Amino acid sequence: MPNALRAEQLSVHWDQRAAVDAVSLHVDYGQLLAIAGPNAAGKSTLLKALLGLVPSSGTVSVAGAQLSQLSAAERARTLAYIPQRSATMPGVSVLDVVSQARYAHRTQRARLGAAPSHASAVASALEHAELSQLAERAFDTLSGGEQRRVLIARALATGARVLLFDEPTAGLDIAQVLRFFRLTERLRAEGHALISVLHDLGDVRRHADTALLLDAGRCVQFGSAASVLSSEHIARVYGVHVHESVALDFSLEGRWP
Amino acid sequence: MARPTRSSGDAVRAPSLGIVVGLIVAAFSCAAVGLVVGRAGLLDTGRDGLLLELRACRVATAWLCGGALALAGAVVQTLFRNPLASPEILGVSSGATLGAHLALLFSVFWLGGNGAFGVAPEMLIPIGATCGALLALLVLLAVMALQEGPLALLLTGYALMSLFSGASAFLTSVTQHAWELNRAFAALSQGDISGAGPRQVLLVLIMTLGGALPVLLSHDTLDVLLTSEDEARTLGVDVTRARSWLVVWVALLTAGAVAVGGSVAFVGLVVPHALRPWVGVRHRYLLPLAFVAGGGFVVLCDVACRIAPTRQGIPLGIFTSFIGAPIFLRMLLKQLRRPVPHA
Repeated sequence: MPNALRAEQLSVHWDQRAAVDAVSLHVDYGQLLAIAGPNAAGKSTLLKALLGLVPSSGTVSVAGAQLSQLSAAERARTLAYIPQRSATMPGVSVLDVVSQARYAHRTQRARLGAAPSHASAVASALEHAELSQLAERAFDTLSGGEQRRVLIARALATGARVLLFDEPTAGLDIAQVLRFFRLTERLRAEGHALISVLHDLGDVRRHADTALLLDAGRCVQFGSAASVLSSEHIARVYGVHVHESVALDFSLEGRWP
Repeated sequence: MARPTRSSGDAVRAPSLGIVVGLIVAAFSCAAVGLVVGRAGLLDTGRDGLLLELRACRVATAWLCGGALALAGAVVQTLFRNPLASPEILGVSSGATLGAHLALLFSVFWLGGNGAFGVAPEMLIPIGATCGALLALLVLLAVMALQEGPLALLLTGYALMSLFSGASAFLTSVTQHAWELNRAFAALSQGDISGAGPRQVLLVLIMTLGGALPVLLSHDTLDVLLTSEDEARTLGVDVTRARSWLVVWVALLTAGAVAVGGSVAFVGLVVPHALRPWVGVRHRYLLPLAFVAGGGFVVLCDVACRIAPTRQGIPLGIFTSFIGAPIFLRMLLKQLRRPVPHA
């Protein structure tokens, strides 16, 4: 069975400088791959290269199909992107933002019959992201955490089984972070493949199946999260020592839906 | 009256039936006012039929020009993701005005006011304006092929606008000795539909339909373009292709309006922006209602120009500027005061 997503020798160059340099990775359905690394390591650029948003060399395949061979609508039905924040214009409702996900399905008449109805796909995604109560609110009036959940709902409504997150926990409080990882566990159990840029190495170790450590655009290590986050690799990439210590541990109370 | 789209708790809903019906009734009432109101009464003996025909042409032209500009404005504001953008930033209006100036010059100095190649003299100006708009469009598309992105498009539009406006000003200055020609130049620059007849109506109708129909059918794409370019791409929009076609339709709409009505300022800027708080941002509702409201607005402005207590009336473009500029400034201040979304 082909990997959910596989990249071989992926490179991105900006003005002769390699922002991403010959990176190879793969992720299977039901797995979370974390992309970690210091600031300006090329994590977001790698994510955009995987989505085909920036010019790159190398190959990216999704479920065995070359990404470059897919039309814009086919890509949207295969890969979903959850940006750190959305530049959606003011006045757009949560329902409308999530409904944008069905664009790629509406343009493909042949698939309309097979696809679930747009309304039910949108409603299901809103429910999944615990947003049904906010459907009529204007997106720009929501908090950062709520906006992030709307973007996740939009990605789910595309029907894509490979989801790519750009720093999904940045700026969120601990309860929102835990809710996010609870959602990722549910998505993995449903068979989605997840790729996420994560800054918190503790989160990488706790929640990711595999990890890729980037430094200056190059892959330092790719493999199981535990093997990638060794003291040696962290010292080499971040220039810090790892101290084993008792950390505060958190879990969601019953009041969270 | 409560605003329906951003009511309690920042809720956003589709426009109510009352708002839609109210807007349509108001716009058609403007058309009725345009037919009836004027310096001469429709029922004056001996000229009612002719007057009605003239007024009908003038109202139809004003409606189509206003509708086309408002529709083009709604698209441009989404295309550049800026509610304060206007069709003028593409340089197409300036290109159309320059084309009309050149056609007028050609007609007066080389053809002695007659037609050419089987084309009636009064149709030369619309054809020139269309050529000017298309020239601007071709330059825009050529630049877009080299460099994608809204910034490149905006800067190219600004450069074209400066170039075409400068060329128009040059033509006006070198033909100062020809008083009639200068007056016609001024009418084009200031917006004027007083001479509209059935041919002008037909021309603006064809061009407006040619641009409006594909734009109305693109409402889904425009809804997705309300997000960033990267997001739109990942949602399945072929952004380069969609943007190129939308530019073509905007150019066609703008050229048709400028060719017949001259430069009618602020309509494309103010009408869609003023409508959004009432009808929301979904293009399925915004686009047709912008067309209706833009048409009604320009018809009403034209009536005011017609009955203004001056010997020649007030040029339409100047009147819309008087109304549009303060509204625009109010909108700008409101946008500047908008609180930054909380994290």
